[in-house]
Amino acid sequence: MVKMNFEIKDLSFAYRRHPVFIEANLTLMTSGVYGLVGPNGSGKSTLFNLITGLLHPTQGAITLDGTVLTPNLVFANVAYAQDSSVLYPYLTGRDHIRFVALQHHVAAARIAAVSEQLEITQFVDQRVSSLSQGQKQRLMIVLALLPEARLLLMDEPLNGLDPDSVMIIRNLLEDFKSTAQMVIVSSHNLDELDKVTDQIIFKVDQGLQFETVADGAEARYAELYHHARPVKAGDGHA
Amino acid sequence: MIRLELTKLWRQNKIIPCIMLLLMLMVGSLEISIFTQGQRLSDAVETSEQTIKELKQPNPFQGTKQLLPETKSTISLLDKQLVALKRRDGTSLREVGVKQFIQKWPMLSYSGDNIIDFNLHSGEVEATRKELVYLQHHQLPTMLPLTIRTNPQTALTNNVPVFQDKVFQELTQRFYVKGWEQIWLWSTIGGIMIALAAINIFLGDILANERDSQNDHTTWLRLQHYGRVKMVLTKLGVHLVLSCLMLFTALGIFLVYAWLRNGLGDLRYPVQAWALGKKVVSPYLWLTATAEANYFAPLQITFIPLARYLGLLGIFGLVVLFLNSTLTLLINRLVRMRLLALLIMVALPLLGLVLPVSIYNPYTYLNGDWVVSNYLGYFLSQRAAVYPWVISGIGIAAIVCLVLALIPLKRKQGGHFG
Amino acid sequence: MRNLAILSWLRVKRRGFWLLIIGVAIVTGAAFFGVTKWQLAQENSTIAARLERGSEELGGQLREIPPKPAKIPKHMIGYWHMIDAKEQLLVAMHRGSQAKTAGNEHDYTRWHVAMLEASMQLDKYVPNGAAEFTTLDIQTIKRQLKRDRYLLATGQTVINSIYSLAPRAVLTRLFLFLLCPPILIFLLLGLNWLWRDSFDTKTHQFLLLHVRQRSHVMWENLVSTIVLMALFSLICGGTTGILAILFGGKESVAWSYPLTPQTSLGVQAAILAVFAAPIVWCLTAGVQAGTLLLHHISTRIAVLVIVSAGITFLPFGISLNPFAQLGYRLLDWQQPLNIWALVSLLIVAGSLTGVVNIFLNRRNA
Repeated sequence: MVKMNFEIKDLSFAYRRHPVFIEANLTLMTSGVYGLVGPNGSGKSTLFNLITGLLHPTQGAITLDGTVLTPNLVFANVAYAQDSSVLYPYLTGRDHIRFVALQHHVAAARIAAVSEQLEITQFVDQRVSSLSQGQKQRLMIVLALLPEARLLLMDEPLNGLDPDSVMIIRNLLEDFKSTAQMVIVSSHNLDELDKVTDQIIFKVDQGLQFETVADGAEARYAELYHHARPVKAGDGHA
Repeated sequence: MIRLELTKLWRQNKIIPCIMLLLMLMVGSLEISIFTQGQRLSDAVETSEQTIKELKQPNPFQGTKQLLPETKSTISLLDKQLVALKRRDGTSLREVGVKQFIQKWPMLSYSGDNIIDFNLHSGEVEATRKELVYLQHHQLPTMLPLTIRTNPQTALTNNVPVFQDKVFQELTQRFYVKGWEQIWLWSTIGGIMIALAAINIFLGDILANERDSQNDHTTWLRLQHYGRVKMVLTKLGVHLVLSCLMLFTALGIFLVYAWLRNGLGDLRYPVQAWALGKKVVSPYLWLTATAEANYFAPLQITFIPLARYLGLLGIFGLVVLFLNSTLTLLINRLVRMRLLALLIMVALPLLGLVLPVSIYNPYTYLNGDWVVSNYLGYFLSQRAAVYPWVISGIGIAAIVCLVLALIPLKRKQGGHFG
Repeated sequence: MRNLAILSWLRVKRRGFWLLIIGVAIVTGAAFFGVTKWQLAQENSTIAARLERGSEELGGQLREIPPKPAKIPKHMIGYWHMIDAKEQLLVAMHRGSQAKTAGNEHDYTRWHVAMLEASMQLDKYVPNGAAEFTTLDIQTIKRQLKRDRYLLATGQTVINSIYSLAPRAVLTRLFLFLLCPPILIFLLLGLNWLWRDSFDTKTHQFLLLHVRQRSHVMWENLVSTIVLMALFSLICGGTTGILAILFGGKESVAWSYPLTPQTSLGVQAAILAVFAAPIVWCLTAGVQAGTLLLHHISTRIAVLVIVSAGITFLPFGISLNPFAQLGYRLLDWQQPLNIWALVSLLIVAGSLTGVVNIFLNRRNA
């Protein structure tokens, strides 16, 4: 664990008349893996877009180590593995990797290592349009990992992944626990999230609530959002 | 499916902006006409005053300060014409015009030196006389200012000297400042092509937008049991109906605007047309007058009411819209890039405005004014009216486009519409 | 910027956009040549017919003239000079018409000079006497005669109006066509596909996340579009030029061709070249702003074309309005372009780029 200071202060944002955040606050003090949980459409991706400057808050500030995030700072310190629709469908994976690597001065050895780690070398020369959802997802994660940013945002990284890929990502997230990077992962796969972290940021109403969930994210999710979740057979619960 | 299409087009914000664009073009055209007419009327008054002043100067070759009786009579008519011009009185101007044109040497107060009798050779003077007589018969005021009736041959046959260019323009340029007259004007200046380009900006990608970027939205529709043929026919129906609806809505609003602004005009106003007719004997005195009056023989210049002209133009417009709809589907079918399909469909009608007139130029057959007035008949050396043939030809071309748009293409992998 | 340019090139290459540009440029160049040839053929036949009609009228008048007496009375000398001038005019018009019909432009130029000289003679005896047959007044005759004598001396041929297939002339007019604002904006809507493809989809987020400053994306796109426009123009011009050399006919036009007493073709082409990059910059910025502001592509096309056509053809402040300068010259290419309009063009281009930068930085992706 390394000391860091990521802070969201009095953040407000609305899509036209629909407020997503009203004076939301969040402070994260150390590196490590954090989960971001909320119902569909609650604003998880919006939060990531606000952090990266793709959206502009109507009020409030987002700071990293006391400095407000500007496009330049985001470029230098923040990586974002977002929805794969931002990739150019007619470019290959290698085209995207080459661009990101040149922009961030990433060494060839690191490209090779990350590509190996996420097992994308087999399809890296195919056009994005011909890749499966899982392959695109892995490519997006490679692109986010290349710059070794201090703050890594991952939006639903487990979506559309086969069990092998899920395991690769899980191992990757486990590794992040011992690095100097801060990783915020949004996911609906609460089981998987529980396996890698117990530090969860919940999106509640128009605010953010940070909690350490000893009993797992799923139970807390049901409490917060008033869902009576069906109990699966073999869960060990009554 | 039709409802889905309409919802898509509405959500894509295409219908209202298209109507607004058409309306803007229409209103702009009317306003420019009114503005330039005002300028021209002032010029015509000025030229008339100058001409009258010169005529009133005694002729040094006559050796007397007295004016000849013929000159006095001419001046008297020109004076009346000037007064009518100043009052913007179309009825008085027509009355004077008729008197001028039943003389053996017709003259307008701003007609320059010998332009009417010596420099015009393709039936212009005869046409003007016939038009004025028609107006007199129906007790209609003339358009302001009173001008010579020209035809497409005028540009090729006149020998107006360069220094009289301005006078010639004053003498021939008409201003269509009423609602119905504007539609007549549009048909003479390629308005149909401009309207098609405006419609195509919004509907020119009706099929291609289903394949925007790498997505093929039609796969979803195919899952709902909407095959290619059904989809193309639905798109055709929606395109055609919407094109008509948008055009006529804009036209309707424009007519209300024109009615409030400057009136709609009279639907009995005479429009020049060509029809098989007997040889004319010109009442005018110069040697070539009769030959010039029969320039289009065996066709003769005749006049039809504006209502009939607009009715025929309306039917012609509908057929052209049908061709445009089927052509849009065909181009959208062939060109897979949405932006390219859209730009092609906008550029295609506009190309008609720059290509020269020729029997080999298909746009020549889409000139509404030529088709309705049967000038195209003269151009193609036909004795009978070409209107039904052109309408049928355009209809057949449209059906061919539709069939081509419906024929399945061979594709490597499944295909979008296969 | 370099990396962005490489990415843009990859996008152009992978999507086959370069092939499309080449294809459309060849079609445009060939179409421009074809339409000009067609228009020129029509114009030439009209000129030949007018000359023939004028000479027929003249012939009709001369047939009624009694034979020239062996000894001309003193008071009739002027009259017979006039008849001589008319006879010369008749021959010149008839031969000129024949040369035009045969497509022999050098002969036509020679006979055109002879016709003007005879007209000058005739006008000495009858004020504006030639106008009845040639429609030319004395000022026009003097001006054309000066020009035509120069053309004859330098081995060039006459351009009658705006149509010519001599390579230099047709290329200058092609570039006037390409740079006419409503047409250029239409072209740039297509050529600036890279910008539209990014900002009409979510892919721009990928770009914006990986640049230090958003303005880099804008500048790179500006440069890419200017390069693509240059490529398009070169191919288009090459196609038209080759066709003009192969099938252009027998016209000879040098850069020194006097379009007006003040301007030569070469000067006109040089000023046009100076205008080219700024006008492309300006309208590309317009397309960029349009893409950021107007979500629907149809509305965007309509607004951009109407605004550019409006600014071009509104009859106010034409001399300092760069859009009007370029637009009107397409219809009347012999009038010189006002180089000072370049200043206002650069100001507008700079301002528009500033506006795009603001939009881009304030954009909510």
